[in-house]
Amino acid sequence: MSNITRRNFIKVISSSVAVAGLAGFHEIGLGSSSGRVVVVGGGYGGATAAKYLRLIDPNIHVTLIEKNAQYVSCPMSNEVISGVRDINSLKVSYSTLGTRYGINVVQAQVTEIDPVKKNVRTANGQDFQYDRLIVSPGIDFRWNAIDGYDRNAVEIMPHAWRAGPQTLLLRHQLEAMKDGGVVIIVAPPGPFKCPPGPYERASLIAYYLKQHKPRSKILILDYKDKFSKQALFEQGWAQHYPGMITWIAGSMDGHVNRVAPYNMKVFTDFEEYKGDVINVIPPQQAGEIARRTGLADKSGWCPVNQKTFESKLYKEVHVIGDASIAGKMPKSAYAANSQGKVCAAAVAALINGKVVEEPSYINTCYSLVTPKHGISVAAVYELNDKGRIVEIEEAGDPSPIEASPWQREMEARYAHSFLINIMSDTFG
Amino acid sequence: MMRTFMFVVVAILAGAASAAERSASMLSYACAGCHGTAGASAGDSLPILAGLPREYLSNIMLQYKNGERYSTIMGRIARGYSDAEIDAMAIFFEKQKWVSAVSQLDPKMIARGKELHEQKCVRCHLGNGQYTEYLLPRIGGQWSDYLTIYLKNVNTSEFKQPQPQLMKESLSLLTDEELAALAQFYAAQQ
Amino acid sequence: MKAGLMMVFIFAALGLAPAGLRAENVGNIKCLNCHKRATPNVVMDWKFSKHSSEGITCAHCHGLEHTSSKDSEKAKLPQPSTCAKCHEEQVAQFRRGKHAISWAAMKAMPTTHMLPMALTKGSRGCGSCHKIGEKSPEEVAKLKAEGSGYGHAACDSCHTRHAFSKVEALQPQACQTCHMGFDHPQWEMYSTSKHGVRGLLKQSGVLPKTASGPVCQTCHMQDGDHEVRTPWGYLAVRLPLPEDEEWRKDQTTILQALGVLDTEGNPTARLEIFKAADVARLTQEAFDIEREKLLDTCTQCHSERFASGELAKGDELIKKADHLLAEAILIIASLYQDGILDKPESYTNAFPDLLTFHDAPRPIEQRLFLMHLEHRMRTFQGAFHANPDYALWYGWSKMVQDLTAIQEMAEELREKARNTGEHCEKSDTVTYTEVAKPTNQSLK
Repeated sequence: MSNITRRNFIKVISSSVAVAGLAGFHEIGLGSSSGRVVVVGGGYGGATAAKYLRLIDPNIHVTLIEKNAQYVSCPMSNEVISGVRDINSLKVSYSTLGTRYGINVVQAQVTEIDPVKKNVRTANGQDFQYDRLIVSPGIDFRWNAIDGYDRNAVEIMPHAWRAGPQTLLLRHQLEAMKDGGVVIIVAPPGPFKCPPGPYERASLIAYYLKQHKPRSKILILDYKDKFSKQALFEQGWAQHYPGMITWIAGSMDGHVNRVAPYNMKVFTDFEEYKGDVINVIPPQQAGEIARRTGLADKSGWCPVNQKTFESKLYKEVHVIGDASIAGKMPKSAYAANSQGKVCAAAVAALINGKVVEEPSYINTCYSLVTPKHGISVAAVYELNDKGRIVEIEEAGDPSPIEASPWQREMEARYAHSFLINIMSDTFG
Repeated sequence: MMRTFMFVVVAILAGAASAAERSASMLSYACAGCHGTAGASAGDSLPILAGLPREYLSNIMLQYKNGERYSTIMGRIARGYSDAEIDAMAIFFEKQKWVSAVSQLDPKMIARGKELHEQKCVRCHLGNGQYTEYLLPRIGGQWSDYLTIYLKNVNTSEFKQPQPQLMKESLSLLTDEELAALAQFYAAQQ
Repeated sequence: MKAGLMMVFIFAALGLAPAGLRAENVGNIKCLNCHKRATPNVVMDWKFSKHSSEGITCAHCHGLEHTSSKDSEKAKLPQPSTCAKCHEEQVAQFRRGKHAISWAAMKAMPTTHMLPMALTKGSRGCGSCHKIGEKSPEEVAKLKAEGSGYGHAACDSCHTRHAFSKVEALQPQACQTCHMGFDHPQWEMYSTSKHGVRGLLKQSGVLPKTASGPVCQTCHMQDGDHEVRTPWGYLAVRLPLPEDEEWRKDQTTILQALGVLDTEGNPTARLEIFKAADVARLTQEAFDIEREKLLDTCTQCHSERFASGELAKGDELIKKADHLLAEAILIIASLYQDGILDKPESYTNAFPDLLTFHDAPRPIEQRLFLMHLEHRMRTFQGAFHANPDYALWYGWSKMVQDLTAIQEMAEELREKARNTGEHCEKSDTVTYTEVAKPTNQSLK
């Protein structure tokens, strides 16, 4: 096959799906049911766990319950905000998980989990019995943490921390902003989803502003005194956007405790700031269903056995992804994907009465300073003898601070391919 | 593919599950976030690993780990594994079936790449780059962007890229454009 | 555009992984998976080769066609042309040299066609060494049809398959398997000479690497040149003939007995075979070039005067040995001429044919064969390989004994003929070119 036109290309893909689907599917089969697993939440954690469960043990019956018809990837959604990416490229349907892997995909809102009766109930009244449950609800915001930032405020000061309409809202606000405007980003305290995300966002907004509204400024008001890949971001900002981005640390009065949406103002202890576009990324906690079920502790996150991700509060319920307390692992797509696999292997072993394997985890996290300037942080994790997920010392580290433009470009290219692969590994 | 995949999984569960070692499948699953499920990468700058020879994979990963080969990120991850674990992952990926990349390619570039292949590369990269054995990787059907980056790095003195002498010599006089043409030719060898 | 492209890649992502699209055998079948069981030591040897570390694997030499135990005949058998794909210069040098034509040289010997099959089939007998020569595709096809599955590559004579080691080929032992024994005991001569003893002590680490002590390759493969030639060549005969009157006559006699010159002293058809097989130096220039190369090497350790002197002694010994051999040839030739012995049917002329080797018909001719191929060889090879003991006791001394015996046998044959009065038909085809009647002079 030499030149592949778009049209032919899609044809090829479609036919390959058909062939591959058949080839793979018959072997998976539904088999005799050796166990029922329900997965709540079809993000990077839940969808991965569902898929790998079926790959590891095709006899396990897996139901994936997700309220949305399709998933929109948060990784790379900052490119949508900067205008270099169509949001459709971040959307993926759940159909392949059903057709190729034999997962029972149910689109519904889970309203109740009964960990004693081992039942999951959805808004439309359906009940799903399980032998083991995997909960992957992602994050929720702490709505009371910032005075004035409520469910109405998000329409004026978008969080854009779940990809979708919020992402587009922030994009539209930037498009509508006058040259010379001020963009405020309120960065949350840890732990929160996607630690380098606010700073990548600042970078990619700057990328847009530099080309279209070069007199504009970006102000990051942070709860924290340091942030992920800080040296690399600050180096990139100085290189590409000199004077455009100002970061105010928490201890330098960066801590926002009140917002006034209708005045487009945010307030710290001593200052008030007026912005033309204000992006508030609020403090976070485990997804609502996990908290309501009693899977979270007073920290707002879910304590788990870090080898199996089984909840420390309820037996036979596993919590993975952003909602879980997973030792040193950050709350990222890659971490959730990696945990999904570890959890799937553990659940399969437990259902079959086998010994749970020694786990292995990775996190890789790419950020873009420009669409051609990528930086990353990576880590390999193991379980220590206290049952805690720890980084393997020899591995890891962020990208080196001294690197050529070509090295940064390579990382940007890898970042884009990483997105495709993690989407394919999770949903395809 | 699925059969192989599951065979490996079953073998591991049945066999080494009681050991405190991290199994080949457990280790390898974690790679898929960047390299695709079972090493069938779908991202154009990240290589397909499925079906590549164990020796090639093991050797190149050890080079990354030991700093003998430049990488942006692979070395940082490779250092998290013992040599034996790296070899176990290499065996895992060798058992997976190769799935060729499908990308948009330019017929003119492919034709130019074919000429260059026949002049410079055909002696080693047999079967239009599809042949693979031991330390010789399959490149026919590999992603063109990955190959382009790789070839360019071979020619860039700032990156340590251990290569057969013949390969360095063959590539040294080629322009970036020609390297990209070669990459497209190989990518087209499905 | 960018977003569009990304979408395409997303399709790729979701469409391709993980199930197979169109994987081809060529990319998925690995030779080693079978061969590490089927031929483990072949794989082991190859694994420590430079080839394996450079990514040169089975298919680069054996092709891609053979993929299962059922079609092993599809595996290509490498030849020098295979090696030349990468080692062009070395193969070109090899092709200029005598090793490359050793297969043709062997074929040119009438004897090789008269050996039992058990000795010749599958490159046994002469072929076990002469396989280093290059074969035509037809010859390879014929060998393969005869069931010979290996030994066609020539290069692997020294760079033993499947390690193809340069280091191995640089050791004197690489030459040892062939350059030993009856007609060319260079190994025995070398290894018991001062050159060889020191060379081997260096190899075993007793002497440091920097010690002087040559190996075969030092003198015969200067600068790694794969041509491998000597001034005198295998048979120590050459054209143009020497200036020295007597030596000239003796070399003429020997060339006639080799069938290269006819009894008139004119070139024969066999000369063309000799030329093709490059058995002898056929011009003064060809000789001088090789002699100069050798002197260059000698003078790395020796003074030029000493080295030239030693080489001149070797030349002188050839001259002396030639005189003995020429006498013996002429004794037998005169038996044909005088009708004492029948001219063997296979001989073109009524003149001894040295190249019939052990197929010579009668004891007297057999003795001549030994005198030529065993003892004359030792005489001059011993001299040039710095082994005077070989030159004297296994060479010259034996030649003198041969000549005495041949004289004795000839005398007995003549005596017998006189007594019985039986004479064969006199050969009228023999006319000598200024051939002197044999005398005992040379023995004194």
